Amino acid sequence: MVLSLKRNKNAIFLVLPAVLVSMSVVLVPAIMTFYTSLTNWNGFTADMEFIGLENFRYLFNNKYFWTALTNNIIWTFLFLTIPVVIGMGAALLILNRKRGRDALQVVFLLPYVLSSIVNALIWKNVIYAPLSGVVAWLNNTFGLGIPALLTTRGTALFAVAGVDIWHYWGFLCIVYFAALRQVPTDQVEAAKLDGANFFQQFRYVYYPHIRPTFLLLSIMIIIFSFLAFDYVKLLTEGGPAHATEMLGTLAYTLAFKEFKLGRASAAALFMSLFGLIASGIYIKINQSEERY
Amino acid sequence: MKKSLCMILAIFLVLAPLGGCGDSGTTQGSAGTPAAGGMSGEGERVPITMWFWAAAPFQRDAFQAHLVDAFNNSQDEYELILEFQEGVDDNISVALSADQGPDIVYGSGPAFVGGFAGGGKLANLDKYAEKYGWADRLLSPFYDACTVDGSLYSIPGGLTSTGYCFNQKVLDDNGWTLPTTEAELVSILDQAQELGMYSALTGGKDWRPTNELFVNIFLAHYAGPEVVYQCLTGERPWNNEYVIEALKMCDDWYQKGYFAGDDYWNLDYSEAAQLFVNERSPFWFGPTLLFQFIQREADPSQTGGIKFANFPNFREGLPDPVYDIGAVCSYSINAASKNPDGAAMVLDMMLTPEFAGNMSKAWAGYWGIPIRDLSNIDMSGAGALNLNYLEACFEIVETVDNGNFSYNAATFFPASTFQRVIDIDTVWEGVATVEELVVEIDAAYKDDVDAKLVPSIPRTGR
Repeated sequence: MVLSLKRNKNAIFLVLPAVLVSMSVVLVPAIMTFYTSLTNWNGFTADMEFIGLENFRYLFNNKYFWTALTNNIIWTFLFLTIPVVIGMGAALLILNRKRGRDALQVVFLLPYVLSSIVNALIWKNVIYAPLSGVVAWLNNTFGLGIPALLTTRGTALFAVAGVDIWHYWGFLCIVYFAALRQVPTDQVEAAKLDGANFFQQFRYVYYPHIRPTFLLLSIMIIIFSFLAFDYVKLLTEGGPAHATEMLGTLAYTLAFKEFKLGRASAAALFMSLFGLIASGIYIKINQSEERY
Repeated sequence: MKKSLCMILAIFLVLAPLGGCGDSGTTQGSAGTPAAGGMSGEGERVPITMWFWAAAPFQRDAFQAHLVDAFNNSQDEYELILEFQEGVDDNISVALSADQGPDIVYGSGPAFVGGFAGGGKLANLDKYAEKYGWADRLLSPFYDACTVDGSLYSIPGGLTSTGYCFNQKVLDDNGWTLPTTEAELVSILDQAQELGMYSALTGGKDWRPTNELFVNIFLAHYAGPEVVYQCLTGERPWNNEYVIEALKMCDDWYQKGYFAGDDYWNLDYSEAAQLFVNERSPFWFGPTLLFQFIQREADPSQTGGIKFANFPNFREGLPDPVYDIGAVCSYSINAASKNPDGAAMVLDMMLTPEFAGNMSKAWAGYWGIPIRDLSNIDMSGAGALNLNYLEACFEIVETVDNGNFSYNAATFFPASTFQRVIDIDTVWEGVATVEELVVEIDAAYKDDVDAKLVPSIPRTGR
């Protein structure tokens, strides 16, 4: 009993630094954000009046909050499909290549390691530019009639997402590839001998093995989709006419352009809420799979 | 050996982060610089830090020569250290919120200052204003605009007013004369379009707040300065017939393609400047600040015939001429600064005709400081474009001194109100109606009043 208590004390002592760090960088800011969302704090004065759910009422009555939420959901759907399909497809293709796959991995990862501002400037001023960029060249050479993708309301969100997907899919590819390489080759060979085609091999051999990685990345995609900010801010500033407004850009405007930190915190809570829901689902799935 | 190496590494790893925990001391860009007569050693100058936006090389050179070097050579107590930053507006906001940032605070104008002054982030400048006589030197509307609850918290940067640059050569080539009425202006805009030119150039590609310029034009020249004053002081709701008609007219012009046609969102100011000097349009709608883009992008041989003009009024009964006025920026002193006296010396230098003149000779469009004796500056040796810019400034100063001015949104509109004003693009894009937008502007203004974010509004027509 005494030994157990001593062991527990040691364990608590060893765990304490990590708990303290986690609390100070995660829990305390989270509680502060929650509390701030119930106040009218402007971000730079000591005055902070408790106003209950007024900030949430403001958000629910603000049509651009709903635009932002809808855009975040569309963004999540786009990121759960397009880069996943491209990344997985590319990973499967390089899996069976013996030569050059290391070089290909570096090439695929390049957009991911470039800074977002560089990527955004390239796409905005070299590719999408409708007067002097690649789009202009396509229009002038082939008469394609491509509209100004970043500045047309109907295409702006997809144009921004396209840039972020271009930057992100390589990362997914590399992680999927790393997971696929761990699949036991004897099982793959056995499936081949049994006459399984490529899709059957993927469905019944590869996928069950990489499922934990796949699930984890999917959850991360959902979390990051609700935190989307940098490419939207750099490429469109949420415009034109709020067409690309996201919860992140809305919270930023409320905090640093309008000096309404309480409202910004309320918007930020919605960003976290969806991430929390996704994390909960992930934990639930993990728990149910561990039982078997 | 291996053990010793591990020990050294461990000690390094522990100490390295601690090194970052101390006071930032004399590092650039921190208000935590050593206090005068305090930490600095004998003979050492006390650093005064200042952030500014990422100007072009020739602009940096001018700033360095006429402010930094001039200040540092004028005394031996302080050393001005200037840092050029991308996204300085956002950086300053974030830094001030955390009681950090440079000694001299670059801001976007009185509306910006109001919020931070109320939050105790900016130093009260009353004693410096009295010491240096700033109230007598500055045009009174600008001085008043820089006060919060009667105390001075900033000085204005160069004055700005929304109008248009015109290219005399394009007007002459097409047999046009400078318009003096709305009908004449619209006629040229239509004819230019028929000739395959842009009616007028402008562009909101890299800066969505560009939208405010077009609201400025119609608020000043249709709603009129008195109506805008009443809206800004809460005497009249924004949801009134004059503002509604002004914004409808603004929408009508956008739909007619008078704001660079389909390319409004595809052009930034650099691209617009190149098109303008290459005679693709007779006009470029925007503020006096346009001169700096023209100077940066064009060969001097292309710019001699480029001048600035004011819009005619679009409604009877308004004072004529009337300029909407604002400041391209403001300068304050960080409340966390340990060297406010040195920072005030720098601000004082910026309020002299010598500084305004030297800067404007090198850098057109930005340094027409709104001081009463601006027209006394020596402009010998200045280029044609720089002279044309200052001529526009002299006229604006004279008109403002007579009390005829309206209010530039970026300078005078409080934070949330300003954000709703630039939402004029929701009307242009058919997402909202003018009637819906003015209701939102009104609600935002009330929010700003509640949050005590409305700046001092100088009385027009006084």
